[in-house]
Amino acid sequence: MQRILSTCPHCGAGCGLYLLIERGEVIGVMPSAGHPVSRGTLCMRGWTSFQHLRRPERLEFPQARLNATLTRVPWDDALAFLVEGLERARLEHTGEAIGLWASGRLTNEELFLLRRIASEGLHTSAIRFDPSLHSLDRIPAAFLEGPKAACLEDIQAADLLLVLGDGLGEHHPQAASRLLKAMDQGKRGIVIAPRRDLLARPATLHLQVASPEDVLAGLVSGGEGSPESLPRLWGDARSRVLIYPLKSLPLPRELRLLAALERLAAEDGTKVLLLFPRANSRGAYRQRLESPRPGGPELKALLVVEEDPASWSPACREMLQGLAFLAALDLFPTETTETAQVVLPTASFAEKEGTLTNSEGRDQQLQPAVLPPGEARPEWVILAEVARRLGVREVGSTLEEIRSGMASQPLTPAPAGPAPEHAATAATGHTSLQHVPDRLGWMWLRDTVLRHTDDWQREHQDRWVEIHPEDAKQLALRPGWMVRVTGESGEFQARARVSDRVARGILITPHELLEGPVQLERAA
Amino acid sequence: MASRVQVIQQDAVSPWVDALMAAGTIIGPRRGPNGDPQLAPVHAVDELDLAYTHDLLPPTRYLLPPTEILFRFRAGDGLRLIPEYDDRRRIFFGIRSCDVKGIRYQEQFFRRDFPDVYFLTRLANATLVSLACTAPALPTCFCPCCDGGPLLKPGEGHDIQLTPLPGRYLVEADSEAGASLVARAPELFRDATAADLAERTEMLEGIDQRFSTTGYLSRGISKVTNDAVPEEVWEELAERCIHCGGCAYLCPFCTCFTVSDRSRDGQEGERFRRWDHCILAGFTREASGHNPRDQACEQFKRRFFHKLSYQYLQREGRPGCVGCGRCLTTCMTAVDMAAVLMRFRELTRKPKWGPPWAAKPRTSP
Repeated sequence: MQRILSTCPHCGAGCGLYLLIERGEVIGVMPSAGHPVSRGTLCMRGWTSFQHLRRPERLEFPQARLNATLTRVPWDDALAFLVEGLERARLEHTGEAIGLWASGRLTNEELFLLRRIASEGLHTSAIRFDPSLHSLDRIPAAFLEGPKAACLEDIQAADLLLVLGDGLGEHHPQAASRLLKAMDQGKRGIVIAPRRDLLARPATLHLQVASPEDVLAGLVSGGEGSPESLPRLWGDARSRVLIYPLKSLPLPRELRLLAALERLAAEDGTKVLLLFPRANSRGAYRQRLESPRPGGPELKALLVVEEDPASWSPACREMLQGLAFLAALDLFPTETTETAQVVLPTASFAEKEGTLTNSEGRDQQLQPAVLPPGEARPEWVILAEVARRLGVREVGSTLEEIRSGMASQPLTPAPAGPAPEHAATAATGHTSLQHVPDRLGWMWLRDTVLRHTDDWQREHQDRWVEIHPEDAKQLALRPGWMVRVTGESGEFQARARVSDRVARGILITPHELLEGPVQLERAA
Repeated sequence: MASRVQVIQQDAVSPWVDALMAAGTIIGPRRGPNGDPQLAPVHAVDELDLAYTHDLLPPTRYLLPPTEILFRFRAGDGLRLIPEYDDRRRIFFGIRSCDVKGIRYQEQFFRRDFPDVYFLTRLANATLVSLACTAPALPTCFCPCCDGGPLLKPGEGHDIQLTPLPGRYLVEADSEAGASLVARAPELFRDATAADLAERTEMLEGIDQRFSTTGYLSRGISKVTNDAVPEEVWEELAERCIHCGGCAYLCPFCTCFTVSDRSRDGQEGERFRRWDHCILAGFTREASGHNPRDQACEQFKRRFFHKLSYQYLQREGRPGCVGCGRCLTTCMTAVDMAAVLMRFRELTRKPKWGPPWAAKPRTSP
């Protein structure tokens, strides 16, 4: 059994892990004890990160839509179709007709190549890196570099820890672990979140509210509207770390929270630790274009890399179906690849080389341990070839050459902080239940790789809604029953989890489509 | 096996290992990236680092790998099954006593009822050279309180035991296989003198006291067996568990696995087994919809019942923990074996949760 040191491909923590190799296959993974992030630990995503590699449904061959069906074609033809489709859209349409959407899982080298394809090959700025993180372009740079930027180790050093959001144990376990251990040792902690999770018990104060951004805004304005003990705990501390998992609030509220954080961080001894959702979301932030455009109605052609936008919402699916040309690069068939004209099979994290930048800004290596299945290729190999065919000059054919290009190209200057925006006030319906989506839970449930990870999938096959026992009693619901949740924009069914970890009147589910007031009833 | 104690000088270990390479792959301690100690194939003797602490991955994972193919199948003219056995010769050189105990427990488990040919084939081709600990390998080790070490007595399952003394090792073969390893380079060994043995006796004096964590396992066993842990405490502990699975994957005792098939077309494929974890809900999913919170607590409880309750202790002949300390490293939320036992200890010290014996005695789940 051989061990190859690599980096976990899932969340922004970037744990160091070993791929365990036996007879040319990854048979397991284990954490590195000496790695500064993982320190001998992994979460379920990390421990199961090898399980998708040999799934039989992996895409192995390039395909193109010939006579309305996806058909296996040689690489050369598939690349020619792809380039032709994009070029045609560029020639036939004006404006931002071509879009590029790329997952925050891609390596820095791959994101850099996409950036060059967009700006030098296609002359478009309709580019979205880590498209599920809507606030990507608006993150204040001061939280990432400089005296206000915290890293995981700062948690141990601060007097006061302020956690904004719940579910860190599940979504950001490395941060949760450090917070939990610090609070176990008597460090003061404040948790502002609608659900009582594992950090709420040892915390000095748990504010069980659904809108942490309002509490922060109150704190900024001198403690107005926040419980008495909050300004006192805040004022008593000499050094503070504020921790916020990005993407856990809808965009306008997230921007409002970031603006409040900026004001609070201006105080001495206060640092902010932003937790990025994906393995390379922070790299995506660094590689993003200065003024990217999300791609609107004028979009005619789209290249999607390891994302499944067709599954995001019915509107998004419709938009994709209306495109003149859609190409998708992925490991697995998705709703998006089903719609695409060209589908190219890519290599998994254990099958390619590259760097990922974690939430703290640490650049870490992926190491190729095994070969990709069939004819699948690493994204950087595919993207370099696409760039060359689109006329991008001096792309480079090895990772070293691509990296040297990265070093010579200046990155986007840091943007000014987010403009304070008004929160979209949740409509107050007559229903007593307010739906608070677990947005990160939703992201992981929709993750194209985790959906093909045996044990993770087994543990997350049930959709759930969590409600307070009193609410359950009132609605005559029992734990484990299937319920129907109906909101303004649709409905879904899930199994009821009844627990007093959520406040009364609140309902939490890993589902981001319905927000605000909802009706709940037993499903037939 | 008559215990004849021999001595090998420190600088003679390399030539000895060199001579052993012909007998099989040497799986020995090496230093990996990030300073991580690893039990891995040793290709050159100078890679060997016997002053290592602990490999986070127990050597049992060579015998019960994280994933292994059991057989390949092919449909066609009748179904053909092509089993895969791993009969490569391996010499585990310098593994810790606790891991030898783990291997022997797993052997007992895999011999019971339906002998597991995959595990037993690997074990039959393995020779175990253990390295006694004269001090805790890691600060988190607690083997003396759960009969896991720090050194082995004759008949405890090793083929040879090495005991470090200044500048040399005492060598005790405990099986024919062990003696044959010495016989590969007999000129490197001499018989131990009375002075060597006296030095060992002196060194072993009070060795248990060198381990910081002492006799709390027995108290944990009594608490769990008598069901004297209040439900709230189990809940408090279970609530912290994030179900990563690490404690089970890295436990030299744990044998949970799941069997699956993998096939592209249903005509040809393979059956494999992969490590699994009793704390995961899907491992023992029930058809009805339980309240997942209670369920999570029950699963957490069951894991510790299996490791600590007298019912299992009687069946296995020992508690389900060898004190290697790996779960202390790999648990992100401090609900590892030691943390749980410490929490139980608090029950008697501070009756913060009400008198535990107020809880009605019940049978274990």
